[in-house]
Amino acid sequence: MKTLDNDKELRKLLKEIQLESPSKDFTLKVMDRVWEEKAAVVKTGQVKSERILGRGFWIIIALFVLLFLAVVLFSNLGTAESGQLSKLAEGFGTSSASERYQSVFSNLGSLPLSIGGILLASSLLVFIDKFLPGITEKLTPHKA
Amino acid sequence: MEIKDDIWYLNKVLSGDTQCFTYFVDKYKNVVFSIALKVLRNHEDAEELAQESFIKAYKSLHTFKGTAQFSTWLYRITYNNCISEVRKRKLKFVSADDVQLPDEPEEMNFDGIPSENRAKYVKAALDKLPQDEYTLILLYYFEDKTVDEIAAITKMTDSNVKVKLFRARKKLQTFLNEMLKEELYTIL
Repeated sequence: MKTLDNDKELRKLLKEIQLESPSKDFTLKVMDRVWEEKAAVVKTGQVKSERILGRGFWIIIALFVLLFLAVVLFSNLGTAESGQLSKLAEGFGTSSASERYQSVFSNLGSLPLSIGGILLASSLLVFIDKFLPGITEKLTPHKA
Repeated sequence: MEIKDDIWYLNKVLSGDTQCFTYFVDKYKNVVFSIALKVLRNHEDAEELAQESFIKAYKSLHTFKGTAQFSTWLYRITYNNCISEVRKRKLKFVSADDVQLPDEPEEMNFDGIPSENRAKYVKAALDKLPQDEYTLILLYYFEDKTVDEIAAITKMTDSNVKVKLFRARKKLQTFLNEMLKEELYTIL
């Protein structure tokens, strides 16, 4: 008489059964997802090495610098003698050049503090943009 | 000659040969799918969960330390996914504690039952088991996992696994007996 009274017997019987199986294209579906995951990882790596500051930022900075120069020059002209503009055109004499330097720097002191803050923040951003991608590239392990 | 086992394929995948992951999917898809199907009771959902388990395993491959077998690690991911899904869907995870333990089963008698039908009966009896017991039986007898490994997969204690396995075995025998009796009545 055959009895099912021990583990070996049960194990043998269980080994004979056919487990439920997923659809035929299951492996294909999983592998498609795996490739997608891999592509996403590679793409994420590329995003990390992209520049933080785009073209728009540089246009704004350029406009800001132009505006800043205009403010400095025109405020200088406004406070200077009326004939200063003609003096500017006269030539590049050493005394007139040093005078203009002095007047520009004296006007810098009268500029609002916020402009200084903007310049400082911009400098910080430029620094980050320049050095951070390089550092992250070195630190991020490149996994295939 | 080089032995191409799980570790060999694992190293290949980790070194960039992603296609080698197919080996793991082909090798373990039936067990992973069976566990998921038992919990979700729906082929499509079970397939989705099995897929998610493999993707999760792929994404976490670098965290696999190799202290346990790859299959143990994969089944733990699958089991955790099942538990999460049950919680998310507010399904009831039928535990052995929810099912009344039958009386001591009679000794199993397979006389008169053709050997080719025995697997069919065992499968039918297995399907009647609650989710956690089904998983334990599958892992212990079908996948040859040790009690320690099953404890690691299910996060149960060793003694709990042993108790549940004992109960599952008894239940399985009772179910088999009932089915065989029915079969004999039909024949007679």
